Amino acid sequence: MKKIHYFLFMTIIVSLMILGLIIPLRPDYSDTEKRELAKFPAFSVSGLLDGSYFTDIQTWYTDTYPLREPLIAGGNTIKRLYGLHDNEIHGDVAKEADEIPDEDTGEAKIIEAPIIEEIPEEEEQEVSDETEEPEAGADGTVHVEPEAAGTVYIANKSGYEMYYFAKENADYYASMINTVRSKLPSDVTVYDLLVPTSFGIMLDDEIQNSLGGSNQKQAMDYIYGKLNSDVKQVNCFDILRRHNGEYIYFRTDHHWTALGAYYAYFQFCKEKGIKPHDITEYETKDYEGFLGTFYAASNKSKELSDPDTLKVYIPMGTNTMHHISAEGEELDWPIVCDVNNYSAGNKYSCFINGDNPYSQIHNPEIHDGSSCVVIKESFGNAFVPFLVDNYEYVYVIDHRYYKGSVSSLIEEKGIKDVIFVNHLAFTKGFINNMLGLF
Amino acid sequence: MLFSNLFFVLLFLPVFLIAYHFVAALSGKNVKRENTALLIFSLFFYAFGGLKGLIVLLVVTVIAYIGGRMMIHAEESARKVPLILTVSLLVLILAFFKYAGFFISISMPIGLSFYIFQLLSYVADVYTGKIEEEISFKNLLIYTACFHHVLQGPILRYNDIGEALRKRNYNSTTLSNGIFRFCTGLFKKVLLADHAGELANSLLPNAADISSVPTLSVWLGSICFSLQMFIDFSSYSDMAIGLGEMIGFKYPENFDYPYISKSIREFWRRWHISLSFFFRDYVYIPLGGNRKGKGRKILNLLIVWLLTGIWHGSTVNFIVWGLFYFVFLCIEDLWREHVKFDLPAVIKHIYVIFVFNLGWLIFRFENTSYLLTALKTFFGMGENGFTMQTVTLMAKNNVFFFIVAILVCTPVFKKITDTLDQRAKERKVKKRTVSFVKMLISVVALILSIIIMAGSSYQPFLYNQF
Repeated sequence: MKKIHYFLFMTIIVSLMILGLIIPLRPDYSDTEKRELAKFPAFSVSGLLDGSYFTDIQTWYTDTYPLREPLIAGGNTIKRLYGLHDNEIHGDVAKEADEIPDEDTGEAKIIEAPIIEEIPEEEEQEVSDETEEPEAGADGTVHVEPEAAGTVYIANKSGYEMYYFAKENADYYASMINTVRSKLPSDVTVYDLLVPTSFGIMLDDEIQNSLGGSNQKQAMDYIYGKLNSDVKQVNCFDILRRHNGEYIYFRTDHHWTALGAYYAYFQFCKEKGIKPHDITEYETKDYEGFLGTFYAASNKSKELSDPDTLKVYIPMGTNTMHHISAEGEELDWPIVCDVNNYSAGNKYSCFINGDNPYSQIHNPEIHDGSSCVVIKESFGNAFVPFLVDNYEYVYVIDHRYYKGSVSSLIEEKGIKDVIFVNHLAFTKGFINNMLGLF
Repeated sequence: MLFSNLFFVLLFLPVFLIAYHFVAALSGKNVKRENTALLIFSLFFYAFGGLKGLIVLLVVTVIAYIGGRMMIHAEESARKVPLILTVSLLVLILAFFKYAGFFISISMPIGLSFYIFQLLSYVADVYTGKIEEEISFKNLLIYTACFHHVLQGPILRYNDIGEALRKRNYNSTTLSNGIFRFCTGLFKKVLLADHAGELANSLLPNAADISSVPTLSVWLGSICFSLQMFIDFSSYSDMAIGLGEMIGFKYPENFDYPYISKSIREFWRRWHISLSFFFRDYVYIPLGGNRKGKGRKILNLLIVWLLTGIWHGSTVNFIVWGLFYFVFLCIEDLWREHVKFDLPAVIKHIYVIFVFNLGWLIFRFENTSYLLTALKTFFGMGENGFTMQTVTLMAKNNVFFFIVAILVCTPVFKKITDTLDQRAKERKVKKRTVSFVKMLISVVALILSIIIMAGSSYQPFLYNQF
């Protein structure tokens, strides 16, 4: 028996070693993590001396071990045995959230010079040129910019990202909007649409509070209270909250669904004084099998393994847009595209082909010369398709990637509406990006 | 190279074992050839931490070798000079790497604190005559660099392995025992210690976030950290002992369930035994121990605990941590002398758990302001209340983990296997059955660990681009 013990032990480690040495079996890209896996390091003398060369070899060995995905899944199954998992928490238990002031509603100051903060390397990396362009894989997979997520709370098979108010950022954001307003001609209207997250909309206030998160309604009220009165505020908190019995946020992803974005569009139309299209007017399609950022951030929690379905509303006037990728490549693409063949983690790219620096949409059925520019991060993607049937031209700028001047774009194209669609958890870096566009 | 890494378990280890047994078979179990194989693999293993580190390791071994050689042939009275020279040189090198990092960009070779101490004990043992014959450089280098213990101990004495370097035996029993020890150690490290570490990072962040966690979070977090410290460290010793056993070495135990101690004195006899005994034998006793009066004893203790603190790290908190234990040991001494009644065992356990848990809190935070915040919150004077739902939820998500991890800190599992062995000896159960159960445990532990290690490269894309 003892000999069998040794034999069995050796058989396991030797056969798995051989498996590990079959290099072609090693994966090089991870879909759920949205990253290139480690490469075998290039030899360098300094790496040999300080050991980094060997460390990198070890990283490569583990990172690209064959059968990685099933092994990770297996690992998660094992880790479920650690405890009871009706609700889950992933990430930090607490973060610094600022109190949201009740009364301090003076208008935010115009910014003379942006506050430059050192961006931690990680963040910088993610905005690097290499990863920002959605790149079509052989299987029709589109690899998009990694997004989300901080601390994820899981309850009832849905993920929620904790929201922490940061007063300094909130003030800076309001100043940025006011500054942009002051820089633009008075016949241009600035709309500010802040997007709350499912944490604030779907969860009971009490639960949010007990989890240590900040109240998003109060946060939005605070920020809107600091805006110049000439800025049109599109406060979609209440309408979303009223409809929170509907499928307005994904369960496995931090984004809102097209229906959630529709309610924001509805509110926008109200603010602009136009009649929104009825939701029933649109042709719809369902794309199943979406497992988004929460699923990935929770190490593929079993609680979130039930995929989301994207119900999309196809614009009526046109479903074609023209966009420029980060590399300056120009291409035409459906505004809402078929993502049936996309991998489970990438299906949110169905809206305006994910995040691109610049896109433009021309609706041939409208001839009034109306135009708007949307300044957005990814939450804007699901929102843009609804604008198509209200403007002859819609321009879309992702402030994280666009390097040009929006001021000149506005002048050049005669744009009259500037619509900011910003996720509530903006960072200073994002605000500086947007400030830099004007 | 860590043991709990796929590269080690699924490449280095199988290649080593095959090569070693191949050499053994070819040479008819010639121990010198086996030693050579072990040495080559060990140097290769250590080189993975960088060639610079390997150079340091070779240099300090040469220093100790020369020092030892000079002493071994000298009269006892003439041994003092080489002893002082060698010891000072080794200590200076250790101190240099420990503190130079504050001034220049240099990193300490991995495991240096461990193998310098081994060499110090070697030099001292030659001096006192515990090692009588001349040791070859090759054997001394194996003693320093053997991959089993070079990175994290146990801190061996030369005599622990001297015999085995001349002649050692391994057979299917030692192999099977070694595999069992290694696999269960790996399991403890990968499935329990690392997870405890993750929880400690969430509940007791070693960052500015520490100011925003509630009291319960610090309590649970410090427990997780205590669990991590013991399980991580002792599992490493388990793996080292198991690897040694596979090829016929018998290393001394380094941990004896310290968390079940009933006094701090006992705790330190059970925690990192090879280090405590090092300080006892090479510092405390040579300084006179308790034989030179009470004042001198306290001074000697103070020196030992200052050194213990310094050995663990270069920042102030480690010194505070060492002195923290010095204070408790003094209090216990006074208690033993002056108080005649005995406290109930439960109270003693609670006292010890409280002290080491608080100790680890000091150990964790190099940043003083984080430490003060953590301590304030620990004692219920924090600003975030007693608990938050995130904390209770995290506890609930890990309730079974806590139970198993705490049991691992007690001798429960050891008692079970010991009982099985005993019963097999008494022929109450079949030996085969016991061996079979152990084999099953090894295999399951190994496979589970491999699965988790493979998944450890998973990086959910935290932070943060909306």
